[in-house]
Amino acid sequence: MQDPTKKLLAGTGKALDDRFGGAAGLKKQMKKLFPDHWSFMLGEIALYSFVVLLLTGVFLTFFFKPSMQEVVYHGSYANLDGLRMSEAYKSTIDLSFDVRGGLLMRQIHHWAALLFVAAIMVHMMRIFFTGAFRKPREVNWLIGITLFTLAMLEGFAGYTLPDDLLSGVGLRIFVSVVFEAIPIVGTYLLFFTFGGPFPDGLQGDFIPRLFIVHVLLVPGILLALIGAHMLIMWHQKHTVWASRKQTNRNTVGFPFFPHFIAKTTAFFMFVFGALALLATFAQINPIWMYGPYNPVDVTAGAQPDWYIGILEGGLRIMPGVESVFLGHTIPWNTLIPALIVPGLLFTFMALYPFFEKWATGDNSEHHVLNRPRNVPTRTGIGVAWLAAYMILLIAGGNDIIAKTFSLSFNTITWIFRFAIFLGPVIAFVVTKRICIGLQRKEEHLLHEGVETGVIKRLPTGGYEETTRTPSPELLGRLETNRPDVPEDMPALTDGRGVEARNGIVKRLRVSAQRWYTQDNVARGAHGDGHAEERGEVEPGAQRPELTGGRTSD
Amino acid sequence: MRSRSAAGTPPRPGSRPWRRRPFSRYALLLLALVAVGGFYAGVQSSPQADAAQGASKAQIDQGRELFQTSCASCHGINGQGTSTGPSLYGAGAAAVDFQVGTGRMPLSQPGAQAHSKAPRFTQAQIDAIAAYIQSLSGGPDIPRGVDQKYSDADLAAGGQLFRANCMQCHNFAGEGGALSNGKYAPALTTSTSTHMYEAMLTGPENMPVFSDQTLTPDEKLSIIKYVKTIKSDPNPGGHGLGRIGPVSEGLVAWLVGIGVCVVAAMWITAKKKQED
Amino acid sequence: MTDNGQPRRHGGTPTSAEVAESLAARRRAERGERRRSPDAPPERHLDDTEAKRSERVIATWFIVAFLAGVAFLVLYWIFPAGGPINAGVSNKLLGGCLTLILMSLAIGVMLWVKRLMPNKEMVDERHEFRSSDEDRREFGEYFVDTAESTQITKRPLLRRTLLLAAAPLGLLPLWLLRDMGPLPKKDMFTQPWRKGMRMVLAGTQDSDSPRLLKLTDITDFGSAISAVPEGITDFNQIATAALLVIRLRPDEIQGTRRGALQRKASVNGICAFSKICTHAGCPISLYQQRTHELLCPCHQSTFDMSDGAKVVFGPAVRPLPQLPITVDKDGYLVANAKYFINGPVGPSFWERGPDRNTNG
Repeated sequence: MQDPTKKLLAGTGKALDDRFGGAAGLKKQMKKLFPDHWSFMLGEIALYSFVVLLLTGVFLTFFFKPSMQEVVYHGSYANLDGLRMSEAYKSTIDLSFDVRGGLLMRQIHHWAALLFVAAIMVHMMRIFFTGAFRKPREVNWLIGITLFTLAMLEGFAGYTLPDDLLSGVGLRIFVSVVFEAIPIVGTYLLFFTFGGPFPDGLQGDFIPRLFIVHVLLVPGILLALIGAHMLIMWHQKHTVWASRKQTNRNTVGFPFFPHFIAKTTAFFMFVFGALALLATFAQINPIWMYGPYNPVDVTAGAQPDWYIGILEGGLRIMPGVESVFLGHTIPWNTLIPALIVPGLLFTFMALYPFFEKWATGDNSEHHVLNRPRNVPTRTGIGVAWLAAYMILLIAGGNDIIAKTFSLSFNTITWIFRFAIFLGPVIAFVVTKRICIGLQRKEEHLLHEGVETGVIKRLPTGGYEETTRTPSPELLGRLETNRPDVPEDMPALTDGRGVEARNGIVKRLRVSAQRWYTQDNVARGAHGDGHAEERGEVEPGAQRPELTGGRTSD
Repeated sequence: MRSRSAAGTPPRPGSRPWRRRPFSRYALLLLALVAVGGFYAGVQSSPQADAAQGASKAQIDQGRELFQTSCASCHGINGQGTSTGPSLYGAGAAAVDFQVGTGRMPLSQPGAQAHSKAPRFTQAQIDAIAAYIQSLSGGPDIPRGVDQKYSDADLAAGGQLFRANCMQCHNFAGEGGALSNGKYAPALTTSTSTHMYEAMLTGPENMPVFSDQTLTPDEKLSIIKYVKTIKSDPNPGGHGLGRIGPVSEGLVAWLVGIGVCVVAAMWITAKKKQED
Repeated sequence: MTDNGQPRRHGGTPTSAEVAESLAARRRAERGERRRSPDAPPERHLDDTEAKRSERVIATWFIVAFLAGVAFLVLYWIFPAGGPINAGVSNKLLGGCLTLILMSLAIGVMLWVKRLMPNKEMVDERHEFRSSDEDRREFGEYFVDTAESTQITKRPLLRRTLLLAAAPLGLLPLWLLRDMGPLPKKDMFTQPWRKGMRMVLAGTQDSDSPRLLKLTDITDFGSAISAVPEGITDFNQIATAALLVIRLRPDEIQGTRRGALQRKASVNGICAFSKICTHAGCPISLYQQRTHELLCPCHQSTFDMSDGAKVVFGPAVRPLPQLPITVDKDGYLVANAKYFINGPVGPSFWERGPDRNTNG
């Protein structure tokens, strides 16, 4: 206790506890266990990108002027000397070229925005493919989808603020497809949101309003939702991979203090460092080359940031369809790709946990993750969704692809027009087959052992390959991760079969349940050696919860 | 609303076009004559080409000979055009200097568009062919001394014109872009200033024509200056990522951004190899 | 760390006896105490010299971070901003230092965790979130009883007037947002061109001497140039008025009904089309003069400019509106109407309805 640091810490702790109490609760929280796996840190990339966005964003607001007031530029960038531009654009050029560290902060901010949404997406995929969205984590899944959508909006608003040519064209498209295209209320929404017609409104309100959306409204909601997301995760504790040791009734990992706090701080530094690295060596959004916004000008290769790419791609591959109905126009060519398709994609993702619960009839708590191969139908659906997303995203760059690979974008567009329907179906079938193939391989390993490549001659004259027992790790992995087969599933029907009332829905549900399990590779006779572990079943659960031997644990 | 200062009011009708265009044309002619010597001194293989405007008979004859062996199969024995190649009447020396000087002609194989490659002929031979085509029925002549003149042009004004009339095809940094059915607008980053001028003047392939009346020589020179300037401008933010906008940025964010972070996460959670 | 059950790494090729032994150990562990497995790795007994060495390595990383930090502070003062060149140098130096600071700190902290902190994995119990039936029942009873004690169930007038009071309050924000903008009225249909209005070459409209286009300026077939109305600088108006002026050989304009209209609105083969794409409103101007295709760089809608700007590819539906033009007595190209053929210009919206020749 002679150590002054120790003394200081102890003193502070005592003083705080005297006034607020809470040592008992905090003691428990400090010992909270966090499982250790790289894929559990993907969400942290998003979290720390957000922190970096807040830090650099505050810096930028000190120099950025969200105004469409026209000024004449006579700054340090000769290529634009004497040109008229908005104050927003000028202040962005100035903070890039005339503020020390300004370019660095701007570039870190923009890279962090790209990384933020990318990390959300990767994190979401991890959650989806491992089934981490299942009960009791559905609410966090919904918050996550909301965060994803808001992040897109937030990014788009930020991309628009500098009032450069590229972002101005982006805003023009956004106004056309998100506001004007909406039947009945579209133009009213546009005029109320931005105070008049594109691009300036009557009072030059576009940039100031987007600014307040970008720096206050959306970040506020993001912050609140991220807080809720973290608190729920903290309260529910993290999911774990199945192993002999990690079950549905325990958590295995390292305590919050000191391990997790140290590791996560280091990871924050890594994420920030990666962003600083990018901002140092890779130029992003060179608005000085795009020039100030002007409604007459446009550049070849007009693209949004990557996360808006699915809208861009959808708009590009959509054939021209528009209906004029009783003197009113419904522009399907913008409504469908910009609002309906993304709306369906995101709504589908948001509702998927509830669909799976309905289809499988599984209403128990899950804290142990699935390996994607063991739930082939879900994995197939996820890959199909990704395929649709990727096709739309890549279609958004069809001109860049055409130019880079000397192709015709007309051909590429036609390919994508078919691919958007065929791609997801093919992706589903292929993925499901691959998953089942992997299941078979593992079943084989479990029964026949690992092939050694050593050929033995038998006394009878035949040949045989010798095998060896899998390593304990492999064995553990194989034995604790088993796919569900139809017999494992909770009964959806009572007694002799389908209820007369509600017949079609019930029948649908029965086939949905079979769809999830019927192709799975059944456990071999000697594969089921875990009766004793089955004994640890929670009495309250509707279906048996296992410490091993079942995929859904 | 972007409020305008008084300077933004439109000019009195006729105040400027009258003043500017004839002057610049005379200036061009004058400068061209002055610059001819210097221009050709720089072209190694054509010391004899001392009279650019008035091509000698010998030069035209040499040009006809080259034309008939290398070009006539498509463009006709007298440049009148065939089913496989357009007529060259009125194409002018500028078109020849651009097409042959950038290696687009003679065409190596038919396709959506002629590609730029190493020129087949020396500059002297190109000048001879150009003189021959010019002698057929006139057309825009090779602009002289563009290299010397563009440095005095108005850079920012060139940027404005570039954004309004060029960038839609050639991209904001002159990196080029895709056009319909496999055609493309080439990158301007390797073009010489004379070739750029000629391209504007003659509208090769699918490029629109910007005659000296449509875009004055001064305006052309300012565009050239802008293109040359952004080409040589460094990328203050680091690597330019091809200067093609958000597509390459998105790719880098995924590969490097997510990549570095995932590698870091793997290292953070890595466990020492265990002995069982 | 021999037995954490994480099946991630393969260790050698154990015999089946070893496997059985390991399994048994695990089972024992699972039945045993919850907090820590007895066969978990023994707490690390740090070799003193090894710990010292680790300490030095970690401290080195922290010192690197410190030096990079000092370098950042110093370089900030040494290298000024101002212009792209300076900004580029400053960006590399400051960014490089910042990267080094962050990465060194991260590596230092992680080495600390890996080399000096105890490396025992712990096990903790998980409890079902669901409360016991008893708790649920008690909560429900308390809630209902208390609610009843407030008399809310017995006094419908209170319930209803409370709801009534809240209803306008919910609408209030919507009302307050009303003045965020004007009603669209006819704004979506208007554009600034008027009969006799001259054209300015786009790109010069912001300069002190905008260049007005004359008939003799568009000398060549295959010309294409952007133009805006003279004297109009308001972006809202330019956004609907921007033109692409092209010149076609008279025989290139097709003999269709559209072509006939196009010819009628042109002068000497010079046609002025709206530059605003009818799909999503991009300024569209990738004109391919040989094939007369006009391509939009945003979504690749392609228009045939020899056939009244008919759509030949891509998501657009309607042809580009055309502004009838003529020549005034001074030889300037001027608008010959106060409307676009097939207007209004720009993308579709609900009130637009069928094509019409809109005026301002």
